[in-house]
Amino acid sequence: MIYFFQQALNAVQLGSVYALIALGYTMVYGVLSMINFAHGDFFMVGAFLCFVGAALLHLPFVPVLLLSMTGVTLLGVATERIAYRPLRNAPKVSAIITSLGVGIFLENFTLGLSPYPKYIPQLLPSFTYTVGGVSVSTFQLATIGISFLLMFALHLIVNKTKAGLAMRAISADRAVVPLMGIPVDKIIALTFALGSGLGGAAGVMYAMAYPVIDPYIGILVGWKAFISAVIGGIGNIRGAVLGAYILGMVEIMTAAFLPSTYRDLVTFSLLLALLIYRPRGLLGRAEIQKV
Amino acid sequence: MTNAEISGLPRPGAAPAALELINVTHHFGGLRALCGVNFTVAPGELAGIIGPNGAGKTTVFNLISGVYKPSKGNILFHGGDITGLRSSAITERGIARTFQNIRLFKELTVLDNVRAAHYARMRVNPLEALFHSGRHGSEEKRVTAESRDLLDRFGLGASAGELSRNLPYGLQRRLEILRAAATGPSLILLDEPAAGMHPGEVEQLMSFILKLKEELSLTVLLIEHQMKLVMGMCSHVVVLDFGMVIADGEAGQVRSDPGVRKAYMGSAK
Repeated sequence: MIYFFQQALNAVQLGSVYALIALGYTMVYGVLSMINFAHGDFFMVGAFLCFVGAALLHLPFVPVLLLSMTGVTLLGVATERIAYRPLRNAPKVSAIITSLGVGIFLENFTLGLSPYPKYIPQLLPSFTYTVGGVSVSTFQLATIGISFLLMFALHLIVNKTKAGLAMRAISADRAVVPLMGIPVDKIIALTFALGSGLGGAAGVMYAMAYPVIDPYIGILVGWKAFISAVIGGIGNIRGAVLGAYILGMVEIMTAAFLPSTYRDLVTFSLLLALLIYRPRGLLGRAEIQKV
Repeated sequence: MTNAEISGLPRPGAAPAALELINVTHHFGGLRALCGVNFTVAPGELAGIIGPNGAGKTTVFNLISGVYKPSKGNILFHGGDITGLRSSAITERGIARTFQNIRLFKELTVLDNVRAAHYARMRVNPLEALFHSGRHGSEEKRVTAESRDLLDRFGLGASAGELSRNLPYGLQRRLEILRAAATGPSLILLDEPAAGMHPGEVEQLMSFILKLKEELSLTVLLIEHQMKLVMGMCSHVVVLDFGMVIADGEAGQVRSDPGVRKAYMGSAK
């Protein structure tokens, strides 16, 4: 039983990382109905900025986190401005292909800077507390705590501010929004900023848990986070968080109780099964389109 | 105030028209949707556009509200040229509109629909919003209070917390009009507000529009097929057919115009 709780804690840690990334996918989808496949690579850049901050600049944890979040925020806003905005009125598939291109660019740009895997030094003092037989590390506490804090901040922004209201309005009907006097471009840029910032934070959390990073870590982790968003109902913010924790739980429990090589098999099977029975995801609503 | 005073026709030498279309032409590819359209709407007037399906009525609204840019011609709003401005800039100047097929933010509550429409008038930038500064907080409170007040005054107060997609059809129409009114316009464009309503509902809607117009001192331009509404409310009527103005004048005069009768019923042999 203690083993189960130990694994559940690991699942919450992994789920938190997926949730932070999944939010970026789902928010961008919400305002643009576009899947930003470069988002996994934004996360990777976040992990590399963590390396820059921690290993090269020898900064402590909080400045490293801020560096990654700020850097990836700027990257997201710039990508939207340069690569996606000109395609805003092009067929959706053009923007999606462009996002794949941006992703491959980021991977190879990072590879070009230095082709070797990077080792992230320890950012927090390593303590382990034991609570009822379950051991909790400082990394886990930081990951879970900071993720919850960021998600709560996002919740406040989306539901309590003018900009958040504008985001929800764009998500509901983008064509009408300018007629309310809402500057669509600014709000879309802000959405990218928020989503990318969370992706940057996820990069730091991931690098603390798995301290050897390479330019391709964003691919699989990005896919998993994307699956989380789809499971929850893409475009739905709460759905993305729910999907991420479900996915974290499924992955960790599969690895804990079945041969660990089954992990991704089970994950992707879950996605396929869900898409067959609930194509809109758990919290997604069926889209009724009148012709 | 008599009806005629509210919606008097423009007189020469008076203040600039609330809205003036000068030789407005619009093509969709090779299709000519509007051709040399001229008409004016006086401040405080309640004017109507009528015409057979496909006459170009909604295109006129799309050009005024900046959804499309006209191929040729100019659109003046209180004397200022707004031709080709972005929709959000036109909204900020004080023109609001509704849509033929209701375009509410369906996933948002009734209150949030109206709050979103206050955006044009809110003076806080996203950074302030992010850091929840004091100005933002009080601005939020003011907007929420104003939105509630608008809903209360016009009979939607009880539904404020509901998702707008759950409202009955007639209330969705009203909410869309209130959302447009919440952008703080001086001119409001209503695209077939009475579409799909039975006679009793149409009458309620008419008094709703009149009350809104009077309390918010609006100029109203509406497109409508229900003649009862147009002839009952609008003293100034513009008739479009095949993208051209075929009649423009007082309601009674337009009704008896032979060209208008021909456009609607075919030529009398």
